[in-house]
Amino acid sequence: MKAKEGVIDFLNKILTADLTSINQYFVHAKMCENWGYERLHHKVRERSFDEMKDAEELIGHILYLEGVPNMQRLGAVHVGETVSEQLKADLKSEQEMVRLLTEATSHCAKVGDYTTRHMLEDMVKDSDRHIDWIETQLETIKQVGLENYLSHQIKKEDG
Amino acid sequence: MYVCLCKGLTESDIHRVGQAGIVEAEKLVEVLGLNDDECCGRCVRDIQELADLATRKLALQSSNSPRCRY
Ligand code: FES
Repeated sequence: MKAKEGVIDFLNKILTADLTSINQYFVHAKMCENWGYERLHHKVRERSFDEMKDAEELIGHILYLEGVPNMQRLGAVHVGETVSEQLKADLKSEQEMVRLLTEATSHCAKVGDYTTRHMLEDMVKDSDRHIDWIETQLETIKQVGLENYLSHQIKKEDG
Repeated sequence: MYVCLCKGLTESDIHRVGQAGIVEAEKLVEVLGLNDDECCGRCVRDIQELADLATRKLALQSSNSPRCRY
């Protein structure tokens, strides 16, 4: 199926943001694992995989619309040196992602591509959920202090 | 924050270089080796941001300091 005007460009922009996020979340997850913060490691790793599933869907959809998925481009990966920096960097990336997705969604509505619009709306919901999670973490840190928060991220020994 | 992943440089690395008096774009590229084969080119392209960071040491010590966008 041929794509409506401008849709492939938007999808490729989102794909770039997605591929960038996969890397950012993945390195943050591995750093958390290295620091012994098991709970965070799992949560952030899961988010990286979510982004990969989004990328999979985007690539499939671009091909379906007879476009070429741009796997070449990658945005700036923002890597935090500490857990707080990581959370803030991830929050910024998700907010940027929502902005881009919203812009793309209204473009799709304008040109009458409702399938793509629907797909992107689901991605916005996912991002919103993750933004909510990050904001909760930042708020918890504010309330209980970073040390307390981090001590709860450490893996408990079995038994 | 890490400001250059190709070279593994953090904000404090840039501050240290700035404190040593290296603040001009060209000098930073040279001293940090930002134009060799390991580099993706992003930092050379946006070198002014690193130069700003190198000169902004004192401003950054206050808590609400502006951040490098990397
Ligand atoms: S991130 Fe600094 S040269 Fe690539």
